[in-house]
Order: sequence, then C-alpha cells, then structure tokens
Amino acid sequence: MARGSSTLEILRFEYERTWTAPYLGLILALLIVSSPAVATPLNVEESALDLVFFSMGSVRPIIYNLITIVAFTNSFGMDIEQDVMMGEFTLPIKKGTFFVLKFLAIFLTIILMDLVSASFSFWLVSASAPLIPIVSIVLVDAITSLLFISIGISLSVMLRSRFGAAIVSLAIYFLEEIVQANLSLQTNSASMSPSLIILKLLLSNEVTIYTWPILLIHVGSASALLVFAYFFLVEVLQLD
Amino acid sequence: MIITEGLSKSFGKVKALVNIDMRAPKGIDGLIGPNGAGKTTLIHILTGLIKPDSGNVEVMGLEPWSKRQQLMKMLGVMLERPIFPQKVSGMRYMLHATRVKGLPESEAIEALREVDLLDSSERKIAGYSAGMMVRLGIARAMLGDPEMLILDEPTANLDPKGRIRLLRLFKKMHSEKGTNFLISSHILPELQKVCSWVCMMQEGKIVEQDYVDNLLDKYSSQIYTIKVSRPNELANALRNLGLQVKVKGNTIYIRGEALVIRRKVPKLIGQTDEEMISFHQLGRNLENVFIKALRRHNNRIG
Repeated sequence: MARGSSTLEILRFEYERTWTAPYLGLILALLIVSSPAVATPLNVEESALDLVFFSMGSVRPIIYNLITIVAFTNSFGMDIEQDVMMGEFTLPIKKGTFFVLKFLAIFLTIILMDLVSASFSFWLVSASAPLIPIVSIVLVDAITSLLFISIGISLSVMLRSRFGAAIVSLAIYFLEEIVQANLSLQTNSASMSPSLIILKLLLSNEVTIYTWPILLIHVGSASALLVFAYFFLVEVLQLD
Repeated sequence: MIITEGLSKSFGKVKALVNIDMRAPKGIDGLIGPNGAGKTTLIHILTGLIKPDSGNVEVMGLEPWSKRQQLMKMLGVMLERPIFPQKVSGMRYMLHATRVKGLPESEAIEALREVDLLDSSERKIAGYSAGMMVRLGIARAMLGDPEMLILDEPTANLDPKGRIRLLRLFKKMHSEKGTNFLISSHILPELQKVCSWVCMMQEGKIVEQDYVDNLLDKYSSQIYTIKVSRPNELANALRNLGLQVKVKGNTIYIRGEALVIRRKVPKLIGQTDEEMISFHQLGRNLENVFIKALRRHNNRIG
C-alpha cells in the first residue's frame, strides 16, 4: 500500500474514533446557540460587517475557544495518558506524521463546524450566507484560537494530563480577556479584543499599534509552541 | 538477533536497567524475571519507545530509537497491558493496523481467527475482557508475518486453554514460518515449554543468559529418579555401573555423571524386561535454575 494510503488511514481512523456523531452534534449545537445572530434576530437590519463585529464581542468566542481547547487537550492528552499513543507507535507510523495528522483532523473539523454554524446563523438572520463575513469569522476564530491550542497541546504532551492542560489553556484565555478589557478601559478604546484587531486587519487592512503584538502572540508564539510540542513528542517524549 | 551493550536506563532515582549486555540468538527467546526486574523497560527500549541513558542496542541490525519506523515493519510488538481506542470494534482496529502496515485486509481476519477472536470482532473494544484485549494485541503483533515478535506477558489474563493454544501457535509459527520470538514472562514453566534460549533478570541486571538446555544442565541437580515396577533388580544393575543408588518404594534415586546416566540407564532398562513408569532429573526446570542462578549472582556481587 502506498504511503499516502496509510496517511489517509491514520486521518480516517482519527476521525472515526474521536469525532462521533453525538460529539459533533453537541459542538455544532453549542456554536449555533451561542451565536448572537440566533439570539438577536433583529440584527438583520445591520450590515454584514456590523454583524461580524457584533458576533466577535458576544459569548460565541468563549464557547468556540472552550470547545477548541477541550477537543485538542482531550485528544492529545487522553492518547498519552492512556498509552494509546504507545500502541500506535508499535505500528510503522512516524511520530511526526501522527502529530501532524492528529492536529489537522481536529483543527479541520473545528473549522468546518465553525463554518457551518456561522453560515447557519447568517442564513437565519438574513436568509443569505455572505461569503466574506463568514470566511472572516472562521479565519479569525482559527487564528486567535491557535495560541490556546498550542498551549493545550504542549502542556498535554509535557504534563501528560489533559485536565491540567485544559485548565491552564482556559486560564490563559480568560487572563487575556481580562487584560484586554483593562487595556480598553485605560486607553478608552472601543475594544482591544485580538479577534477584532485581526478582523480589522483582514477586512479593512487597519493596522494599529496593537496589531503586531497581537499577531506576534497569537500567530508567532503559537507557531513556536506548536513546533516545540512537535519536537517534544518526536524527540523527547519517552512513553513509559 | 538482539544485541545490547552496556545498556542502562534510570527513571529519576530508580535504576531500571544497569549495564545490560544481552545477545539473544534467533529462535524463541524468553525474558524471565519477577515484576520490577526491568523486562518491560528493556522491551520498550528494544521497540524504540524509550531511549536508553547509555549503551548500544541493535534489533535485527537496526538501532530502535532512531530507526523505529523501519524496525516496526519487520517487528510485531505486543506491550504489557495493551490499550486500544475504546470506541471502535476489534475488527476496525485490526483493519486500521493492516492498512497502516500496507497489508491486505484479509490478514486482519486471519490474525483474529488465529487468536480465536473473530466471532467477537464486531464488538466495541470497550466491551472486551482483559484476556480478549491480550488476544487482540497478539493478533495485531502477528499481522503481516513479521520476522520477529516481541511480546510482553502474552499469556497474562488468559485461561489455561487459551495459554496452551497460544504457546502452540508460537511454536507453529516458528517451525513453519521461521518467526523469531522474544517473550517476556514470569511464568517459568510456560517459557520452558517453548523457549530455546532465556535471559534471566533481577532488579535491572542480567542474572544469567544462555540456551535453556545449557542452563538446565548447569543448574540442575545430579540426581535422577526412575520409577519402575521392580526397582531392586535394576538398582543392583545400576550399582554395578558405579553409580550411587537409593531405592524408596518403586522409585530409584541415582546420583552420578549426567552423561553416563542419560546414556546408559535407558539402555540398561531396555535390556531388562522392566516397565519404566518415569525417568527424570530432579530440579530440571527453569524455576530451579532461576533460584540457583540468582543465589549465585547475589553471592558473586557480595
């Protein structure tokens, strides 16, 4: 069998054993319910862009990040905690391939669900699914969550505790929320939310003094942490 | 087949392996030792799951840590307490393993049949008993007829019938396909039945390693027993051969050179019309060998 087929099998098996129908349904329901477009249908009067900004400031990002952190830490942490990963490594699988495919399987599923829920929310409000606002929401969600995902994976690999990894990642998420709320108050700015800053950069190319630090934290450091987790799993982690 | 030189591994302050020099030949090899002897740590190093602190390892000519993926194509492994994804069926898991190994799917069915698990293969693994989990682990290790199987406590949690069947399967695989084995166990009579070579471990050190027959010769007592219908006649004939003989009931106890006894006694019985009920060397078993080797090892290191 070609190498590509075994890669596809690892990906398929990861989906089958993790993303069961009830689990997917629950996540999708949570995302839709937490969307302001469903909760406040009167927003139909507003422009699509306003709706996107409104969506970013609602409870939706909290639910989205919570789901993302739990999905990643649970999947990586559980496999290490329960020695499932050890069993997988007695098959001719590269540790690195396993890490990348596992990451992709979870990340792509979450992105797809985010896309479905955002499209559904917009359709409920405006009976249409405008492409640019929907893709913007999904893209911004993915970029901002990368930091918490990378913290979650790194800690679950290093600590071998999904609970500990999830708690720390969530704590850092809320810490950032508090810091940005305080900054908003002190500087009298409308919002310092990383999601909004990235969204403004994407939609209107708006760059403020906070844009680059936010990108550095949410993209730069997140990528560095992911690379660290990858090397930790491949080179350092000894499953015993 | 397996060579280790000066292999050491510690977990914090615990020295799991200390300077292990092992040379396991081709065949069915056994790794013997009580719990905590370091067998599992050694197996994890041999399969590239953990890295030794120092020393060299070679399994079928490959260094396991850096060539793990390549090694796993030639090796079938079953770890102690095999853990599988719980939400999938046994068959689905086996199909996953065959596809990753690049094997035809019929291999999965065949392996499940060999371990008597085909009938329950559509059940989710979460519902499997401990014995079924072990059998699933063995089935996965057997996939693709690997050159060598490394099995950590393969008979643990199996009922007597399952154990006998499994040991027969190992022997059959070795004689028909030339599969080599490294089997870790602390159930010594089982290993004595199948292994041609064993390595004995205690507290992270090798106590003794050699072919089973050599070890049995080296550590067994020089006393043989023969049960016959009329012992006194035979006892006199044995005395005439210059052997020390004692009779208790219908059992004759003989002390002397092992080679002389083994060659001459059956021949002598053949010449008479005695009916031999049994003939064996006292203490000729791995349990006895392990106890004596351990005592000798402890005396040597003071």
